[in-house]
Amino acid sequence: MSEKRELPQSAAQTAEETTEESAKKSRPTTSSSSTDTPPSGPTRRAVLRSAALAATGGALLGAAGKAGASEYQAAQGSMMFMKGHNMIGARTNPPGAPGDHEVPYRSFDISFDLMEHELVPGVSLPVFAFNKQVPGPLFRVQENDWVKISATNNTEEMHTIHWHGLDVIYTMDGVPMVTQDPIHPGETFVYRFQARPAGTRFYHCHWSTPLHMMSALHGAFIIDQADDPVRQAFPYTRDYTLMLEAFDVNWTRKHINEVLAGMKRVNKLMAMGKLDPITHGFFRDYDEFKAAVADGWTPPYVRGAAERSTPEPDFFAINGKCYPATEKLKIKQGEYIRIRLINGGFLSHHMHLHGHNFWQVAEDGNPLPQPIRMNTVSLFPGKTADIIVYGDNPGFWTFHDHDVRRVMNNGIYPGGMLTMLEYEDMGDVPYVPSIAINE
Amino acid sequence: MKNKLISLAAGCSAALFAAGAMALEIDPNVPPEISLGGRLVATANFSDTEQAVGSNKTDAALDIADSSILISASKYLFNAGDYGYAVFGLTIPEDDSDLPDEIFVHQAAVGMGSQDYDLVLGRTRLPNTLVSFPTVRDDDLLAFTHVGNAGANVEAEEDTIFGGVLGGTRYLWKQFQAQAFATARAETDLTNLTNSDRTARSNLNGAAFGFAYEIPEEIKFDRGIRYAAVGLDWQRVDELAGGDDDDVAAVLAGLSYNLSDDPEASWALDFQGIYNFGAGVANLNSDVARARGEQYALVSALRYTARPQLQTDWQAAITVAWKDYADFDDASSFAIVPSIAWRLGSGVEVLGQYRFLNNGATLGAAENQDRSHTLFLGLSFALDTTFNESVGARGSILSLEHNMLNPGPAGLGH
Repeated sequence: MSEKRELPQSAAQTAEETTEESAKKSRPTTSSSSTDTPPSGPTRRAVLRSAALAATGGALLGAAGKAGASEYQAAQGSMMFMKGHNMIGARTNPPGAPGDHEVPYRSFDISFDLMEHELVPGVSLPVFAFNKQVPGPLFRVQENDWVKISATNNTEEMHTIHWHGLDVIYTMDGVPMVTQDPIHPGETFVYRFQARPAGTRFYHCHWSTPLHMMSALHGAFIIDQADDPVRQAFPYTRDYTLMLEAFDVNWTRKHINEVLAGMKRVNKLMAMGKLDPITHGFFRDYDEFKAAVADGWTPPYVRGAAERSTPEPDFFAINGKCYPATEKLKIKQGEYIRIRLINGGFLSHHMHLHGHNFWQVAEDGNPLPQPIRMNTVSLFPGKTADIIVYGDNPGFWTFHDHDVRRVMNNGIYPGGMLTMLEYEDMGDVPYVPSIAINE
Repeated sequence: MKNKLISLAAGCSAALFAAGAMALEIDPNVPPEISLGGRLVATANFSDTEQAVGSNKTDAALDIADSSILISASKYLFNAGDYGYAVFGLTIPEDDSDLPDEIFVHQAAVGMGSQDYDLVLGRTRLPNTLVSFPTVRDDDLLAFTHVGNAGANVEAEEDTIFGGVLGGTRYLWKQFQAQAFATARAETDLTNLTNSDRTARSNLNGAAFGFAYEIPEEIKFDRGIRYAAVGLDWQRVDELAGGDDDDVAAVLAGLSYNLSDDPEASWALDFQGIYNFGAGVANLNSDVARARGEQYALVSALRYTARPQLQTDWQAAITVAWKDYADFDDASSFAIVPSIAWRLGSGVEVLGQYRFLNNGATLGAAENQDRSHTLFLGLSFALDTTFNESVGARGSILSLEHNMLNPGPAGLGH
């Protein structure tokens, strides 16, 4: 397990750290080597990549004196332009990171799965999820730890993982067709990087991002540091991580169905060794794309082909659950707690805590020069915010998105992105909250 | 079955039922899922018919028959798992139809269902055929593909294809289904075969039973069986000369088999056989007599669909059909129908079809048609769009392969 701390919200979701031995046993490999060695491991993908290079005669990346984008061989390193690249069972170790014996890696396994997830009693939706949980497992490591994460795709769809806010090696950034090929069905892709900088970070799938990130391939990645300035300024004793989410149940169901139906054929073509990259909308460069359009290929966004379908979330959640299924935050009088807020969706959220003015101490994972006193903190898409709450006002206090359209379940108020801060040491109290689901 | 060149959507309108005497309150803030479907098909038909009387008849016509518009609504029930739905549709009969109006209500049904069952009450497609063949229109090979209406002497394919249906489907496993229906076919006065006025449309005068294995074509594209079914269709009808009722029963078997694995170039074989036990007829001179004669009918189609880059581009098919009346000599018939469709846009297609029909002497004399050649050239525009999509599709991958609930009506509303 990763570093032990009191993590009431996310303890059950923490990523399980694996030993090297267990990692090797738990994953299939096509490598003839028993060790993951990214620069030289003779994996199937590496062999194919070599073949691609030989076929194109491409110059090596980063050749001396070759400055400027036009100097690079388009699509070099990608095998998406080779017809035979069925990746079932493959274990891909991309280049760019130190080998297993060069740095001490902390190893984790993670998987992409298809599952049905209950947001609130009576409402479930199909989702792609990491390790069959929403949100994905919480990673907790120390700054500068070397991290090795073996990501196995158990679905029929393609995926990647983008490490949002981490300064990773570019080949580990998880942007399909920009830094890596998508992780194919049945493939294990090994991400290696040094965890930095410290702070509240997160990760999400970057393939078909509107669907995959929303539903529900996202999770927290917390990087601790030895002399945390926040802890020094505010000696907090509990640390909560709240992933803020928005779901369009019907859109998700429709599009996962469509994606799976399409991928059945794509996967079949790959298995037959005849997938044309244009089928997936892949082109080596802009000139090739323009030529295809001029030659009669129809881009899917043109009139006559484009779906008029935009996700309009109707359920809003914290850590995968909508009120009243959300978990409470606990505090005691005189206690500091840290709440790490991560916007895991594509809407803006404005979290307001009743009865308290808290301090925002970090944004995008990075400590602020000075804490800012506030009672409502805004998170635009892709943002994180760390706040410190001091227990100086005993009671039961709601904590919710103040865009009250997101405090509803399918249009019914209250619900959605709402939880409660509850003092544990109040003794007898004059009024105890109950549950209201339709006001 | 959705093997047609162009599939039709189905639909309904909850608003039509809102004013009913027994209707309880409707919350107007709970919108149903609405599907709007339809197809307008227009073809120029050029035919050359060798008549039994010895002369040839040539004809040219602009044909818009079989065009239809449908609207459906569906919504989950209070338990959020079962669903209710309704469908309403209009279609255009052929020019020479005996139907009194130029518009025919071919869909007016209400139903409900769940993961395990689907019930339907109202007018919809009769369960008297199993496989849809790749012809331009439903009735291009009607005499071969459907069990005929043995209770009405009419020149109207609508009275063969559509009727009252009361019953449902029980989903035993995901892909296996058992069906049982009471049916109500249109009736005419069989003591006066020249009178085509319907004496009834709603009398429950038949039943149908079936058992099927089916995976939607959208999901099952590689080699193997995609659909297999057997069925029994039974009609209780007036005797032709009056008196006691007759029973007319038919057994059906259907199969759709994918011949290839390539999703970009798919070959499929469709087959259907019908054996109609008949009710004993003295001749084949009327439509109703031909529906009641003991007969065998076999139809098979070979389809090729080109989907370069997984975009459906065109489809070519050839359908062959054979039929024989067991109690009469020279009363067989066969047809060969090659067809092609080019996809110009989503739902917009250019259509071409040739139909050769050959009747044996006895059947040719009865129909005054020994042989015919018909060329169909045309254009179709089909739509199938859903608003407030909130009810899951029964035939979806999530439902069939991942056991995720919330299926919707089978074939209606999507």
